[in-house]
Amino acid sequence: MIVRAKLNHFGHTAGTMESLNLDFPLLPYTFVTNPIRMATQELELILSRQLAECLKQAMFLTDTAGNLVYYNEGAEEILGQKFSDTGPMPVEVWATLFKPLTLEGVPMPPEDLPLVCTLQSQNPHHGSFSIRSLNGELYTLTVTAIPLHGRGNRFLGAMALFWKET
Amino acid sequence: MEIRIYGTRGSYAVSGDTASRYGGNTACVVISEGNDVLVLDGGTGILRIPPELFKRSHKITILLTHLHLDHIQGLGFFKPMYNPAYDIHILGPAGYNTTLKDRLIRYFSPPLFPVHFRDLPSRIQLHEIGHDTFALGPFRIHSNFICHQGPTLAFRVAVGNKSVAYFPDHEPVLVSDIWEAGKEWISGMDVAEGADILIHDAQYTSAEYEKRQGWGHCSQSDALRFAAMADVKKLLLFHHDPDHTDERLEEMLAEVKKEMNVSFPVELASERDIYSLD
Ligand SMILES: [Zn+2]
Ligand SMILES: [Zn+2]
Repeated sequence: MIVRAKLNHFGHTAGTMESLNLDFPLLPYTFVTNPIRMATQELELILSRQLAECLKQAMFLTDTAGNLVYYNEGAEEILGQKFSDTGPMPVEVWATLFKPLTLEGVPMPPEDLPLVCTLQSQNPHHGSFSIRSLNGELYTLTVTAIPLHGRGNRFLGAMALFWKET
Repeated sequence: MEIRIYGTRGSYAVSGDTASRYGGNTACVVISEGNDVLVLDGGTGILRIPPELFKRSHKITILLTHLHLDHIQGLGFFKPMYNPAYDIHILGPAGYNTTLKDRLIRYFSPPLFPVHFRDLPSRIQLHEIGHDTFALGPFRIHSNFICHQGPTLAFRVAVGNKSVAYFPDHEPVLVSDIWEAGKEWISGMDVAEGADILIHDAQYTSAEYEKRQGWGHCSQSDALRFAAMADVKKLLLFHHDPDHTDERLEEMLAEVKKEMNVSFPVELASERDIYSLD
């Protein structure tokens, strides 16, 4: 039986076995003698983060579970937090850090945020909402959330780009 | 495990006295354990492999990191490809919407090449690999996509508790701030970490890299930084720029060693090199 093991996101075997038409042994294998001490993010997320580092506009980057794995300087203003202080944040934390209001001024539930919709539907979502700046001023933000589908059509997470309406 | 370097040059092959020390052939490295052999990349260096190496088994396994010409150019002239007695397995990355076969056929077809892939007399089997971990005979292999133009893999090949990591073409960071983001955010770190030998792209000086950011290669100093972060035991600088003479390569290495103090040995990969890991 010729099989190979697929590595999942965290560098462990995910248990997916796939037959390969090889006439030499291709066996499942995980590193035992040289353990992978640190999982590496998927390349598509690594490259997205590098884009975010270069953008002036705010950008969020999440994994498939909605963990905010990175946000850039522009986004620090929206969240009122610094990435160097918070590190990655689960969706329950970041979605409630800022208090979005609909354009009519009604509090907006986190599940209506375009990024949360994108994570659920794996489709792009776009919308506008109001938030209060750190000095109490109300302003409008427009956001486009884009799903990240990598090689092999794997869903890897999402990015959200924000525009401050003036 | 024995590692033999047959091609060290990046981009295109060079010849002449100024490349005689480190070699002018494009990427090819052979890893062997007893009679089992793995060929990494099929640059023009593949043509230097002594035919005796495969004569006993008539079976050849070639792992391609990617399909840039400097990594496949030797395949068209590799004699076992024209010998019906040979079984050749080629493992490499598929494209986003194209198969590995379609991508190889672009090279193996006129007008680029006179022989069609389908007309090659050897028995060739292609296997698409990506972010995978598998064993081939005595070799345990881990592959993952890394930052370079187009789908590009790096390989870690281990036998027992010894391993070699192969990153011929790699731009570990595009934005220098990423170095501070930690190992998790550095392309290929899972493949390189803790390797006994890391063979890594080091095509440019830092000044040259400034003008070539995003081209998919890196400076010698970035290679050292990547190797230090990955805690490797030895670094071989690879994919030498065709414009760099042997003398220039040695100057560059002396400069980078002065500039960066690393705890592991760093050498320029040479086509004469053989390394043993036991
Ligand atoms: Zn190359
Ligand atoms: Zn390349």
